[in-house]
Amino acid sequence: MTEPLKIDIWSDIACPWCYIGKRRLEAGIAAYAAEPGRPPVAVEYHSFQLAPDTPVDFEGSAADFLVRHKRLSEAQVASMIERVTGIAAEEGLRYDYGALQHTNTVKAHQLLHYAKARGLQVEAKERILRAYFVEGRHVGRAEDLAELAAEIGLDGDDVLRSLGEDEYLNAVRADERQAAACGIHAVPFFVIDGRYGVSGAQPAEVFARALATVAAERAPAA
Amino acid sequence: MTGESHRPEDRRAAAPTLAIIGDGDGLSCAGDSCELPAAAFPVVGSSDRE
Repeated sequence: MTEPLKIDIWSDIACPWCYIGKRRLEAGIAAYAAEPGRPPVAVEYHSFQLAPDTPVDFEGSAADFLVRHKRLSEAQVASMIERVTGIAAEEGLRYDYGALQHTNTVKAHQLLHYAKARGLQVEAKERILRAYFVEGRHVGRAEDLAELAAEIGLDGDDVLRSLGEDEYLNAVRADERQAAACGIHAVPFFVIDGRYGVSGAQPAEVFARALATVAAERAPAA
Repeated sequence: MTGESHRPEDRRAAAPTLAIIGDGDGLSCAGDSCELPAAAFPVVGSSDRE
């Protein structure tokens, strides 16, 4: 059996380019896989918190957060949001910044580790990103995350237990240390087979080409 | 966030083993800003920029 190409992805929840990058990666994988005989792909998400000091119950909108923390003008923030919302729409993602509830994402990252241990990490990542950017749901509290987890087939009560105990907090911090060791300071960041990096939400064809390059390098030994 | 850790020379020093495929200027978030470019790694190959 052919060993899959591994894609390790560092990303955050509160990261608009991470969701866009996820869509572009998925399109790139589909294009890559369209050619018969290529190795399959395995994806693993790793934790990266862009603003770990954000309060769980931050009072205000995402725009408020940017104005306060980045000292940007409201007009600048509005322009940023308009730009990213437009690019998201091109990928079929209907971002709703008016409803978005800015929060700390450490519990969401712990849920991603919990889900990974149960073979549902990709599903959990998609569910949390959609809840945050599209549905305006809160993704910082254990209770809200347990509801989302239950929607993808995880045991909501056990998720509550796990998040209450910070069962995967060490795993989150380990991911962050690994990112720092690799020199990753911006997300999304994609590492293919531990050798090649793709930085940022690149076009789908870049991902497809990167995967094809790695697969071709493997071919002589296959 | 601080701008110090985003300098290109810092990244090259910290990530000597990863070859970057594609445009190093992909859309990404750093710190609590999502407007900073990620053009800090050496680039292998090319891509169409947006």
